[in-house]
Amino acid sequence: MRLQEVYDSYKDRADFYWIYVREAHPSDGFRPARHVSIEQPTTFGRRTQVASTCSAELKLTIPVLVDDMEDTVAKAYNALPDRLFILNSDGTIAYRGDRGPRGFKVDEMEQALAKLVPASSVAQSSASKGNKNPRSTPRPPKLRR
Amino acid sequence: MVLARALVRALVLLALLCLNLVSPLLAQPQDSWERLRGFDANQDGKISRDEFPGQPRGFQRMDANADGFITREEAGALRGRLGPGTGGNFGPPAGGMGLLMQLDANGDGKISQKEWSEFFERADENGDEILQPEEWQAATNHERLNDPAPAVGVKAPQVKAKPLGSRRETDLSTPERTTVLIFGSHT
Repeated sequence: MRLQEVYDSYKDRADFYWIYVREAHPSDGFRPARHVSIEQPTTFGRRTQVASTCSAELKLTIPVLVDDMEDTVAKAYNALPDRLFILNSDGTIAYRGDRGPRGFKVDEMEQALAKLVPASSVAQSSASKGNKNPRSTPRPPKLRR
Repeated sequence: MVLARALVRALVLLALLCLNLVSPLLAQPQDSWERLRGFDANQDGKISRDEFPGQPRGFQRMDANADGFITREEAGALRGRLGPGTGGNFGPPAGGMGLLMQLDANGDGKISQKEWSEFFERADENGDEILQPEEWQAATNHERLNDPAPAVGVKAPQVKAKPLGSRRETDLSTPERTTVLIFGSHT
């Protein structure tokens, strides 16, 4: 999976969060997905379960955050059904992809990321932190893409 | 009276949306079948009336032999009859489904009456409760071009979310270093 590849390449230079949001094509929705059948979670507990199962099945190691049932984070970023952003360390937006699925462009995001955290910063980062940044440690399996 | 006005609004918007749904199908024939086949619920390789996402008029235009099904050939042939680049008079080049997703404010894959009404209010610039083609064009372009997401250079929204397996929320407005946010779901 392309996103997993990007994560593996850059996790020592940048933090990654997969923000699990409401299902785009639930089995009880307008256009159910074909590759998997998932009802739209109606509780936060269920949403967390789905996120966990999904990430485990897909064997992803990108850290996962689960958006609340009001879709607070997704709405703040106008990010439904899917979207990519990069934040600078000062808390400003560095990259804003378009809304998915058309605007979900991993290659474009990676190009922006490569400019923000060039490869040379890996050595500096590893040397200065002793390569013990806990946030670079892969977490349990996560979501798809 | 109020109900009648609401009904008229709904019908006008539905008709306009239908044009937007059908026009990209006409304009991009090779993509049109790829898009239509997504509605082929029973996967028999053709689109029935029940499966067709647009208005009956659109179905009739595409169902050349009037057998009640749209085939891949018919989807392509329609474009041949109309010529390349043919589309409706309404709607942005991005196509109807793109517009539909933009109007779908809560991202549930459906357009509610509230979402319709809010769009109508925004689009009806002169307030005469009728959407002229010019107003529709301007509104759809506006919807496409005015993205409420935070722009590059501005402060990230002050929002938090819970990591899997933890109750302690992560504050996304105070990243420790460059941070990639990936929004998505399983479907």
